[in-house]
Amino acid sequence: MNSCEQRSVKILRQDANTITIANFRHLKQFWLATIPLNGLESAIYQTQEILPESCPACHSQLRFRFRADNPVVLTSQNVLAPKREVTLTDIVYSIEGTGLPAMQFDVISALLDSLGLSYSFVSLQDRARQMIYIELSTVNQLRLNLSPRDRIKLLQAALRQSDRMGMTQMYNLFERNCTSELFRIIDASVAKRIPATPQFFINLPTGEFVNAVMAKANID
Amino acid sequence: MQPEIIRISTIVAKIKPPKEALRERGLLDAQSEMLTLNEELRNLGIDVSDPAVGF
Repeated sequence: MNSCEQRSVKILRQDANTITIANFRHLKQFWLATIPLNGLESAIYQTQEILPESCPACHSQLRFRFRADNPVVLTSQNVLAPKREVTLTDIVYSIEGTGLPAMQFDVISALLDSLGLSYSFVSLQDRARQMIYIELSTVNQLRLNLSPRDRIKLLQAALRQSDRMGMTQMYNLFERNCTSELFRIIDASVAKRIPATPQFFINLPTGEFVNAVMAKANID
Repeated sequence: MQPEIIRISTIVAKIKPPKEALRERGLLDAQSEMLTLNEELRNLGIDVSDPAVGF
């Protein structure tokens, strides 16, 4: 699996107030991120309209916003790099398609168990640039109606899902995609009602790897 | 019909848009609607095409 650009996170340390993770992506580098649970201000559900009028086949992700006086702190993951800190008020949990660097793209197999999944934590800056500037998408936002305690529960559930899944899962249009994986943690952590019958969410694979192989397929 | 086609037909019939699914779970209220991220960044004067611009 190509983990050069997209990775799931690894939880390194956690206490009552903070969780520190590795593999946080920002400006095309991986960082250690110290996440202050008490700084969490809101949880926002984002949908990226990949195709016009395409919902429900849009990309979904969660945006977590922190107070400016208690932000996420990044330090370099490379121990030999100069020590510097970067602070962020907005981070995103985005579950994206990835695969082998030499993969040949074909539409049908890409939709059914040929792409892998990365459960990525990324800066809003990186995702905004990718979605709005490169992919020319509109990104809709819904602020979730959650208590401060439930916002923290949702963030913790996302971090634990990413750490637990690693790079072991395969994308499937019908059964395992960016949205179905988000609703797995929403239902397990903060949903106030769970529908009586199973629901399905379809979403096209997205992410930098998918864009690269699709561009290559167009060139070939 | 082939079992796989029946299975996919069943799934397609139960597909939910995320907004509706969030509402059913009691996670949206009158304050949930926000500007799009595009509008939010535009209002802040942020040009996402410029790598030098951080936010």
